[in-house]
Amino acid sequence: MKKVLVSLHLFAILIILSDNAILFQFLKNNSNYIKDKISSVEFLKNISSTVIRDLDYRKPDISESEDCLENEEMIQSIIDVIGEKRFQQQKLFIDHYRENGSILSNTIFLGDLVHEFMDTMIDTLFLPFVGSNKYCYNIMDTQWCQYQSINLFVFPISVRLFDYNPRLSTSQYRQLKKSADVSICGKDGIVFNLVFGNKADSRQPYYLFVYENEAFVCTGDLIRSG
Amino acid sequence: MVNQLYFLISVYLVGAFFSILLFKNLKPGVRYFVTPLLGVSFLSFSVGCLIVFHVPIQLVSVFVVLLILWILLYYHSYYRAVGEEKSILSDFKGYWPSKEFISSLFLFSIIATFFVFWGKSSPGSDSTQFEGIGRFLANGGTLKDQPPYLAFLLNGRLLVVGAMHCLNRLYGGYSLYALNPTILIWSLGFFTLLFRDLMGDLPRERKFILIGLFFLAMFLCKNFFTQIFLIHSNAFAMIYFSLAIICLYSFSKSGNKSWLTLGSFLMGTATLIRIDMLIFSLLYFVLFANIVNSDQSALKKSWATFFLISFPWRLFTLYYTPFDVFYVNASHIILLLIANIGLAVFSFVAQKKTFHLFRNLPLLFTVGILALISLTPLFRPENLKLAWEVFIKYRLLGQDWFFLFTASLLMLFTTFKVKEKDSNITIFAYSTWLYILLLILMVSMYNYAEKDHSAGRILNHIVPLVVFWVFLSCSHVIGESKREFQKI
Repeated sequence: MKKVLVSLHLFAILIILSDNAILFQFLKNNSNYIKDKISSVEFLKNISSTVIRDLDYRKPDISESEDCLENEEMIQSIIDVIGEKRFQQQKLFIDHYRENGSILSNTIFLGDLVHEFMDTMIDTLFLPFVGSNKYCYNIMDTQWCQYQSINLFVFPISVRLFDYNPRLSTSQYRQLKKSADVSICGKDGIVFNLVFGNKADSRQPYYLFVYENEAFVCTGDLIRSG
Repeated sequence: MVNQLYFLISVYLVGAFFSILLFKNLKPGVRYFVTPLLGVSFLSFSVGCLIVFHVPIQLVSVFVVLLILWILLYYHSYYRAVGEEKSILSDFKGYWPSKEFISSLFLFSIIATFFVFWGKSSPGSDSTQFEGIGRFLANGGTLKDQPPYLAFLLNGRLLVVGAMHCLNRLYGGYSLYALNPTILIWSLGFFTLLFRDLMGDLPRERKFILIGLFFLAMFLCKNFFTQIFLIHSNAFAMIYFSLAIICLYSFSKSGNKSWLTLGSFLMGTATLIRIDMLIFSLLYFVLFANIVNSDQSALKKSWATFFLISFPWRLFTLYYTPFDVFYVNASHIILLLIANIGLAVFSFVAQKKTFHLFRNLPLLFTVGILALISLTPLFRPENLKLAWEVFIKYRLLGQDWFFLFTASLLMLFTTFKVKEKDSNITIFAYSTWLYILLLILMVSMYNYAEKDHSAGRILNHIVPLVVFWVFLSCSHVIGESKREFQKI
């Protein structure tokens, strides 16, 4: 009886040792081959669709659609505002959420950047997410999910929804791009541009605008100018 | 980055200030290992107090609340030790300047420094809300400012992990990524220490091999490893819950009541980390019945510790939670609070009046859950199918848990024989399987048909327990069970 007990325990230990992150990573990397092999055997087809259903990690771990590259000019503009030490910390935060985060990453980047760079300039941040209550809003090539998180990141700046056209024309885009004070790459190729404006003593309302895959946070002069 | 390191070291130091007053009957090694967990708990209590009183959170106010809590605990210890004032003073002197304490602080700092400067993290969707509520509080926000999804934030993202993010911001840190890995690796050391103390009597070489394998198996176990870098409450819940159960086993071996108080303290904090822990606190106290026998004071003290930590915050969040919100609504909270109070009352009465019933509470609880699961098809036939598809087939028999589930099943069969050597090994069998059964029941009652069901993530909270159970049981099978565990 003792032999059976010892064997069962050793088997259980072996199973637990097999359930390790290294082996799992190997299986993930070779999932297509393994799944194809298992599926080729008729009676194992069912197993491949239940037990190892999710091992089909055909997507690469890190998104390859990054077409935004931070250049030295962009980095220097950030360091000029918040300093080298803070920049390093912010970079780590953005890298974490850019590489591992989710569809919410760009939303919280917006909140983070507004708080970090424009805390003293903004009294209200207007967002164009009006209409039916949706989890994600698409504006041109950008997607904004669970916009309510922005409130938490920018507090005490107030966040309001407002019905305006957030899409920039090409000429408006060119004009704003020239006057952008800070530009930072977000997730999935999105570029954030912050336009500080006239740096008036009093806080002003700012708005979110979009042109293709670029987001702008700037004052409402564009709306007023039509 | 250095600011985050300051924060992590302060977590240890805050824990150390409180551990002088708490669990004094445990051996110093255990107290030093549990110190950062106490730090996380007490810092969270302080943030919780400030939230309750609508006071904007600042470091000064947090430390004032900590000081008040410390003084209260000090006087509690003083009045309990009337005529032993000297022993309290000597405890101070013996605790701080000891080599073990300094080594422990040094080791914790090394681990924290490594993770702070490595800078590895793996945030997910939920991480954004932990970050968000932390920043909101750190920027001076209170509940009067009515942030969006308030009920969800209170019940789903606070108290502990959100509070840690808030404090890290107040220390000047940018985002909190090193706390989880530091606490998890530290706790892995704690699990290993407890395993060494609790394992069967083995020859020296076999002992080292088994301890080494245990450490390796736990560290590399994919369900543990992936949680090391994830910014979420699941990793903390896993540590606090698993340790609470192991505390019960440690008490069953040593008879040292401090283990029960520590276990109830950890269980209470676990309910502040995640509200679903109020379901599994029932499991914890059901197992309690199996080991405290007729000791009424142990039962009272443990429930009191648990209620004191867990209930004030939940009653407070109940006030802000309507009956018609997603995630957790008021009726869920009321049901969970009533269930815990009901079990406490039942335990006290049963222990006094019908001891036989009290002693067999785990068995009765198991039968009750099985009966409920069996009855589910009568009322909601589709829901049991849902539990099968979403939880059993997809999660337990899926890639995430297939190995651990098989190991648990094997261990269940061996328990009947192993308990002849160590009757208390049933604590692990009950805790693992009752946890799984409770989750099946939860999935079948909570009509949520997505494969990304939170039950799948909650299941990972017992990973350390399963690994601990397998290795501990093995040590008893290949060696001889110890009869006395005086040193722990």
